Amino acid sequence: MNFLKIRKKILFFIPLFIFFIFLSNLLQIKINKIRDEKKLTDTTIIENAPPIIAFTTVALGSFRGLLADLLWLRVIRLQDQGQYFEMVQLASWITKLQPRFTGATAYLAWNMAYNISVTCSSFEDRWRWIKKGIELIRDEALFYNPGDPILYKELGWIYQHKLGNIMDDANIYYKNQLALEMMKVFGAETPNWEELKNAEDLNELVKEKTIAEAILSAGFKNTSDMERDFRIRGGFSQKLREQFRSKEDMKKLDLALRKKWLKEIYKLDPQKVYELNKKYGAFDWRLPEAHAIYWATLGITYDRNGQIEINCDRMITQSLKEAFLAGKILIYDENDYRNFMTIPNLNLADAVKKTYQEAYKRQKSNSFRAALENFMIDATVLLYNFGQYQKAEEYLQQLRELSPDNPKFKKNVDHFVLKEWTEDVQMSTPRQAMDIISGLLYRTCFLLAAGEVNSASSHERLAFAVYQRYYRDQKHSWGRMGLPPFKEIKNDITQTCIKLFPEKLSNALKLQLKILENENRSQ
Amino acid sequence: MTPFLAIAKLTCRATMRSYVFHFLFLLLLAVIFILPNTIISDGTAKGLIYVSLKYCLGVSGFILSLSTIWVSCFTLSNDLETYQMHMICVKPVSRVVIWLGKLTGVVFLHGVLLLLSSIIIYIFTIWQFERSTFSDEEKEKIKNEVLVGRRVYMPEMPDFSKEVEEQITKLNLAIKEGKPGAPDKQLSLAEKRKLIKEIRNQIIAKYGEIPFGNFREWKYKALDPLQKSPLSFRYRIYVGKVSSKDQRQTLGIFGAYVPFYENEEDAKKGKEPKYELIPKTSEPESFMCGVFLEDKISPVIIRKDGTARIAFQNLDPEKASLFFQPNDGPKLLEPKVSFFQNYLRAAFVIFLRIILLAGLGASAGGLFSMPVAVFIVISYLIFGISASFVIDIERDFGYDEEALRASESLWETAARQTSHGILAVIIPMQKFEVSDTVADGELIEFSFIAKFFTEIFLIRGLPLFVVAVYLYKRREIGLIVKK
Repeated sequence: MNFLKIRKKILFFIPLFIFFIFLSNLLQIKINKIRDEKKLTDTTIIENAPPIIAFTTVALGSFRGLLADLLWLRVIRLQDQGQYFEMVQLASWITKLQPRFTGATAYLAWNMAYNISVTCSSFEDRWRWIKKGIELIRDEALFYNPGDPILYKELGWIYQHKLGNIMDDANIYYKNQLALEMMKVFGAETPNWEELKNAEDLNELVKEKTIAEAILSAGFKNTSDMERDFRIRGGFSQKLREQFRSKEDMKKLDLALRKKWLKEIYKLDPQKVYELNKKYGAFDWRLPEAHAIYWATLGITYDRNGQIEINCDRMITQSLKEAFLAGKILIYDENDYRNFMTIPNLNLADAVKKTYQEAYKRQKSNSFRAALENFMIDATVLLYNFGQYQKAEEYLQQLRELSPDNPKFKKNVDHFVLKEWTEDVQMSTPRQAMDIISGLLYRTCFLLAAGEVNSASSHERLAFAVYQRYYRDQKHSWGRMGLPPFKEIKNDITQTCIKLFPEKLSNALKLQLKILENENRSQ
Repeated sequence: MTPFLAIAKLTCRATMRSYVFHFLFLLLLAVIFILPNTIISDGTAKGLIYVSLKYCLGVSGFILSLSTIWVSCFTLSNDLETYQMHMICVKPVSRVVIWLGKLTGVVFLHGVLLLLSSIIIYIFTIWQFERSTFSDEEKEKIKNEVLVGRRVYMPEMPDFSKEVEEQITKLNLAIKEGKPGAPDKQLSLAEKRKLIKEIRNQIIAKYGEIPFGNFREWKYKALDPLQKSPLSFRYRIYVGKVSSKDQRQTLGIFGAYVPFYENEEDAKKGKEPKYELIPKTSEPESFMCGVFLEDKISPVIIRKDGTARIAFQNLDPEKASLFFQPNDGPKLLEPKVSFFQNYLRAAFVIFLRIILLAGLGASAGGLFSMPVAVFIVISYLIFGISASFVIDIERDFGYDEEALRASESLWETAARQTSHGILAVIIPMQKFEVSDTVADGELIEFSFIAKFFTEIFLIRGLPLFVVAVYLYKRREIGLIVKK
């Protein structure tokens, strides 16, 4: 009897049980979907995660969120107290605890590069904090989230805005430091990217008998030992150089080491760099704009939802424009960053124009059109200044096509450029006019020293044109508003440059002046 | 004495067999050896030593505390649950001796571990400092600011509470009469509280404000007139407003009153010298605002009566006001003891914490089962933290009870009063955290240790342990049935 009763109960409850399981399963599917959609869970195991991440992800479970919150509160508290010693450690821990929460990492990196860096009075300390911010995204967050476009955008922004822009009064220091750092990796001012991209894998290369022997006979215990020494020196030690049987071996190893260095530390893939150079023109990879373009391009590559495309597009176009205006390093100085100077990278003009046009087509935003017009005006003036008159004329013609109703563009190129320059001069005080003229003459000296004779000559002509324009505008009150004779100004500036330039550059300038003097005499 | 020592010895042995102890011990070893090698500092030499010292000491202290709680709860409750205690209790050993023996065993074991870990951390810190490739300037900075024990002196401060009270009375009157510009009568309690807090902050900020071109003087008392080595002066300047945002560089001049004699005879006669305010530099100095800065200052500024005066003039290039928060001092730091001595004091404070935790654990372990005992000890500690947090609000109001009551609900007042009640009995263990102080190079004063020993150990801890031992003695262990 009892057995029957139990059997009845079982027969009743089993279907009910199955029914509820089915219902709960349906509900669970829905809940899981919402959790995924709203990003409420973070259970995806990160591939190739280091042990510490694997441990925190699995062992701490959901509690790591709480722990990360506590660390976050500590970051805020310490920042309020102006104590920054622990910031890097805390940021690193938060990233390790919540590796998928890229927004938090991006904020922490931005905070270090922007907020904390400016609390330091020494430029060296500021640079250190900016580097910490870059490293947090580049070395940690991107390692765990290589497909997150926001991180690429944020990283590019630090390069473009913090290093590239002039908002920070230490920006020249940053640019000089970045150039010095990159040159150490390149082993030259500009590396051969094609050779670098084709460089062999270091691990394979060191298996070659001649190379392995050279490394060992130079006294290195193993490849890592040699690699460490290479990175400290920025090249081979004299002892190792002497051990190579052929120059070819040395070059192969040098390229392999630099390729690995770039990839491991700076996360720059020479293949991608080569492609960017091919697409836009040769960038100066010592400058932040090239890096901003690199990271923004990667951002677009990984942006599947079009979430940040417009931002990355802007970053690329703006950085390209900057790279055109000041994309070539003329002087860098290990001892005095203030000597750092850039000149335009005129090779990029067409690429910048094309990028603006493409971005305008893609985004249909008027801001890109206005930016294109502004760029074309700047480019016309700059090309003219640097002696590329025909190209300047071409650009002006394109401006006329772009804005056929604008009377400004109807003038010939000489008048157009002069007007652009003199617009600034017209309303200026003697001091402002003097600044413009001296600036142009100072630049003339730099260009002359750098061997850019044509550009130097057009700069001098422009300085003289500005002087004449100022004279025309102020001749009635020349007694009060006048300037010294042009020849005198030119002479003063030249002598100042000879005195202030680094020795090497100063000698080059003297030599060029002598050559010009001889040429003038013979004429 | 023999049974006492035997019990202590057996407790040590039993502890060393516990898996949880093994785990915590391994964790401690990992912290001591791995943490300093994996720590990332801000890239400065001082940062590295500071973070390494602070984290290693802090984390190892925390692990030892956890271990102490676990082991002390386990050692007593487990003996009861496994009927081991029944075997001991039939012998002529009093329960007090058993309890004390167990406690001593736990304290001894953890004391040894603390000693070992402290020695390793100390050696590692010094080794890290010595083998480093830091520049001489950086090394000197670390020696003066981290690897030292400096006594902190704060300047004399006025009592703000009277002014706050006056302002609040005025505000209440304005609200009551509905004066134009006065806050709405319908102000919620939270809004009211915020307003009062703001008034107080404004008054304090006003005190700390130095308008452009003005001077501010700080007077320090009780300094050592025989001090020979240079003092440190730690300060933080804010420009425009007291906020970590929008800070920039500013200009100003620090000065101090230094002694001089009008003629040589006065000096020879040993007469009291006159004091004159001498600027530190002839040109205005540049200061980064919003961050702590430290300078050296000669001990000649200390007068015979142990006072010293320091002054500052605001020469901000944008003519903005500069602020010195009263909480920041500026502090005068006087080197008193070596880093080793200060470190020893820190280790001793951690040891005191271990004794207290062991006492708490043993008290709970003797009366409850293992999980309940651990739960009670953890709850006790959380109560201590929460109660301290609740009454922290009083600091914002300058401990002005009336101002607080006017802006809080009955429940909040009750919570605050309850917190006071709780703190009168419970030990706020977080107050034993000294790793920050050591890493900041600030002296752990004997008075601080003595205060803790009397107020916390003797007044709050000891009575609790006596009650726990009494209850343990009275406990009918025959009723314990293993489930």
